Amino acid sequence: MKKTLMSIALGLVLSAVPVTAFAVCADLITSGTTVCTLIGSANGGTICFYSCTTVKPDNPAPETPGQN
Amino acid sequence: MKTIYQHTLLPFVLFVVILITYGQTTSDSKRIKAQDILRKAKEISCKTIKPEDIKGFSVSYGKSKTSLVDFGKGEQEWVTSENSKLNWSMPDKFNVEIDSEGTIGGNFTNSEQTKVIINGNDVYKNTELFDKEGQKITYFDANSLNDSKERKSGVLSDAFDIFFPITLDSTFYVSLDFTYTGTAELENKKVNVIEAISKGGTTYRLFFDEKTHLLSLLTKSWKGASGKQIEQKSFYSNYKEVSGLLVAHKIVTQSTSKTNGNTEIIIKSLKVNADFKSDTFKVKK
Repeated sequence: MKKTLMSIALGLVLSAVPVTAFAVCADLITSGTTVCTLIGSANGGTICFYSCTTVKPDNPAPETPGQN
Repeated sequence: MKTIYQHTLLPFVLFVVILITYGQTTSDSKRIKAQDILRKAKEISCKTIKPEDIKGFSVSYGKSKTSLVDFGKGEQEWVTSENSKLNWSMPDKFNVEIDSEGTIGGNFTNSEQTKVIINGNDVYKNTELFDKEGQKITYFDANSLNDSKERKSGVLSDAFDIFFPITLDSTFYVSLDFTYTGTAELENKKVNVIEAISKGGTTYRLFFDEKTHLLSLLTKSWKGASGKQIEQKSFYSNYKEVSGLLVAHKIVTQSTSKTNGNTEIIIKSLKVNADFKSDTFKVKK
């Protein structure tokens, strides 16, 4: 239970991504396979906080070339 | 007693030996037939250049992808549109520059410029994000390490999709030992089908047009992370000659995985054996 709570807390810290330079925070930003949603803002909307989720593509397991 | 054993065992042993030999011969002949189909396709694809003289490519392409994403608000459509330039120095050096923008649920999110360099096992990745006004978004990417792995996988997957029908050599991506499985009908055309199962358990099937000998369809089938079987089909069309090679300029991929979605790649230009600058594949530390 304690471990789970710690993991959730760590996850929240890691996923709270500070982003600056927005006059108004965008609701969503994306990068590659990552989608970040706005969870809060500060300093009149110039500092935005996002929670990010990596949407992993469902690809075949990586294989070392040369094997078969 | 010995004579009785000899009489009963000898025909049985001979029968088993004949069965094994027959099975081996059939298996060998299916493998040889698959090699013949690949060789013929290579001869047709490589019109005025020998496959062994191909050392690399520089390709510009557009890619659009539509998938479904759920990040806590239910499934929404995620559409990305990118223009990429991919340089490949065979066998294991890649440099790709991607300009892309995306919408989720019909709303523009941001644009992105990404550069990925792969040199053997070394990977470099740099991403810059821009808002709808073109202002650079300064951000800290907590997932940068994982994202580099995903990017490497994405670059190799794109390279396989684009270059495999040209070179018909998969060894930079996965080693495959094909056998002939028969003929099939595909869009009113008769196609020869060859198949291989990789060490990782993914089944690859190639469908070659019997008349033109060109690759029309590549299917992959594997067990996904969720345990569900995933089927992916890549249709190759609009073959045009470039520098002595017949190159499929349109690749449409359909997947049963919602997160993989459907993609379309359109080749805009391709150079064979392009001259790369000395630092093209240098991985910055």
